[in-house]
Amino acid sequence: MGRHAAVKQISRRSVSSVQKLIYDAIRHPSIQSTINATDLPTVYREADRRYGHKLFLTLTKRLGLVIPRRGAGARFVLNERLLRYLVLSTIRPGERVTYDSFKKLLFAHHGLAIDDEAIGQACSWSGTSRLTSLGGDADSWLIDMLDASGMLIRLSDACSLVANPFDGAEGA
Amino acid sequence: MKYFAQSAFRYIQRQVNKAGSNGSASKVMLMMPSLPPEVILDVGSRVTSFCADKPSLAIPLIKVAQPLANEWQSLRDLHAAQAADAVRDSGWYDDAGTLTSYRHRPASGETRPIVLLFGVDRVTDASSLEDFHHCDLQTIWEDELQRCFDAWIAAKLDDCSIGYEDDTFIHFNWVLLPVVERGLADVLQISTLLQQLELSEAQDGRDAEKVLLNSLDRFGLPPFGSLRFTTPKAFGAYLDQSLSFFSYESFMEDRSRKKALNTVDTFVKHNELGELFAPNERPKFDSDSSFVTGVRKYIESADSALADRLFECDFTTIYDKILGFRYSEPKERKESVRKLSGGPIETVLTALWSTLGEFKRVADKKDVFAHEVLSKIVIKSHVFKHDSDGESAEERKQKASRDLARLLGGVDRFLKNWIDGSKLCAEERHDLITSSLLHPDVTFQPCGTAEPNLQFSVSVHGEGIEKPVVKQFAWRLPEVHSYRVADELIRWAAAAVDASSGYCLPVFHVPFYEELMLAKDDEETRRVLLQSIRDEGDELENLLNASELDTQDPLLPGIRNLASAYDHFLQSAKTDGLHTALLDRWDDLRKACEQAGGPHY
Repeated sequence: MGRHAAVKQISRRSVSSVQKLIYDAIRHPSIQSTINATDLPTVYREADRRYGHKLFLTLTKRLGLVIPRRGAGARFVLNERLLRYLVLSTIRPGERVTYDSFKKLLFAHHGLAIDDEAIGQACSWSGTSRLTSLGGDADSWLIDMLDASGMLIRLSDACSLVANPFDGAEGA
Repeated sequence: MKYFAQSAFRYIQRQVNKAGSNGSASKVMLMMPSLPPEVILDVGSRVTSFCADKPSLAIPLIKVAQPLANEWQSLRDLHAAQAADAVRDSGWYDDAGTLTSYRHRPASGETRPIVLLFGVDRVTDASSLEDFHHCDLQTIWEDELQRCFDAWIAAKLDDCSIGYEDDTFIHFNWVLLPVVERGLADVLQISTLLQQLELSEAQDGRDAEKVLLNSLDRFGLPPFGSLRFTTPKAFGAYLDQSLSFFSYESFMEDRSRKKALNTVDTFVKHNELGELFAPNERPKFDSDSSFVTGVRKYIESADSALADRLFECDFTTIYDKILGFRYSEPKERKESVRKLSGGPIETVLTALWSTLGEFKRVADKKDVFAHEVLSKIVIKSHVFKHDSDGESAEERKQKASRDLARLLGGVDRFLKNWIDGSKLCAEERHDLITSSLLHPDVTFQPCGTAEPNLQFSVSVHGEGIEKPVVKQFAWRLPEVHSYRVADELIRWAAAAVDASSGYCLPVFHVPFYEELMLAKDDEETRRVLLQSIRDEGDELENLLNASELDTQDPLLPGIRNLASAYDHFLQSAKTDGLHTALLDRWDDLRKACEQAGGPHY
């Protein structure tokens, strides 16, 4: 029932939570104590832009990790370039891992929640309730993308491998 | 999650019945994804009972995928572990580790076998189960629940013996659907919410709605108890605002934070804090003041402790009353001029009626009876916007003044004589109405291309009412206004009669007779008539000048007398206005008319 819309909303809340995390981090009392009280607003306005949540938003939008570039409703997305980078940075050249392991690695290395289970956890991290289920196929889009990129090896309908196709020999 | 289990079972039941309705004894194979243990146990038990009651159905084969049952066992959750044991005890545990094998279970005798597999998303041989009927969350939501929670809401309200109306379903859905659409809960959690909703103190559907609005904390949402249901999307907007508020997203930008702080300050400045909020709207704050200060401080500092306290407060109140507060300086009410059409008496009476209505409203506000305090009514004209032509401004003004005198001549007297003041107020007052529509202080203004009108006011004074109730009106006087056309006719007739020699019993000619008859509406008729007057205004036939008139006719003196009275009437109407003529000359004319008719008249 509107699962994709729900995932989109969860993704939006996730962006918002990350921004708040950064916002709070640079306003830690031990940092604030080093700044003159009268300068606080000016300093933090600048800090938000140069080091804080605004920088995060600027960079992620530039990378294509957050859309739209302008306007409200900023949310995380994955495009093909980013996915390729994630495979290269997560799996050693020439090696392969099961699809389930790949998802776990993405979560462990980059904090990216892909399937029902991880998205459910992300909900509680964003301050809302943990979802029981998103219907079981919240990650079907990732399988399709990996398959289209030639990085997925289907062993059976329920078991697939994700391979890093670059073994490094070409560059040597 | 019993409501979900009920719906899932009903769906399975329909599939089984549908398969049986075509007379075949074919196997019914259904598969469901991983679901919470209590749902699986509930659905499994219901299907078993259902099959036991139907002789045509075999004992169902129910299996739970091994990985799912093992996961329950591994969880440090007593409830899940018990569910895993119950599954084992019921023989539903998939010992083989492959669900595909159960599809080949042979039919026994005449009975129809049913195969129901749970947790198919966890097994590696799911594609071998392609021919199974998929009964997942989406299927139940779309096919069984028809994308709304009506069935569950009805079940819950019936369970709690609460009376409800159709609105209750609509309002429950308006709350629950946005929650699901925003990924704040799934259908299983909605089922649990409804199951656990504490409605013991609810008397009716409205109470139940309030309980629901205050029970969304499990989804990370504050209470919305004072929400008013207006549109299907209204609650969704409040949801978004509450999420932005508590995630501080709304105030991370300097500009939006300052704006919100200004709003709170304006709210404090223009409201007397004390009894502005009900205690249940701000349960974590002792007073209105501390509540508003708390909101302000949270916006300013993102204090998490304050956020926790505000989370217990009614968000609709925070959003509507405080953050949505708008103050605008009370503007002096611009006195509008109401335009009226019709004859002068009709227009003035309409204006008087309207002003008396306003006076009654004012009197009601002061808790007095309008007719008891009514002391004086003043009708006065102020500005005459005219379309009179002339060589100079002075000439135009004089012409307008004469026109106005004709239009309003006698009207003031008419009103004074014929409006019965004793009927309007408790005490008999003979001097109740003062009408000064025609007076020397009227301002004359050329109207240019605009429509000519006479602006006048009606003031109603009351004892104990400080300011009189005054309303402004404008009597519309376009060129083709029936009263102005009547005035033209009188002037035409008066001039023609005056020009004829001796006694005159006139017959008037209208040149554009055909056009008059073909005129499509009243206005066009008047326009043609006006054109007729202006084109051939002197077309008159004096019947008393007829060549073969018998001068010895006994009726002739009476007719001459009538002609004279008619002439006087016309001249009076031409000079002093129709109403003056009606007041002063009508009786003579009437009597002359009676006498002219002879004794048989």
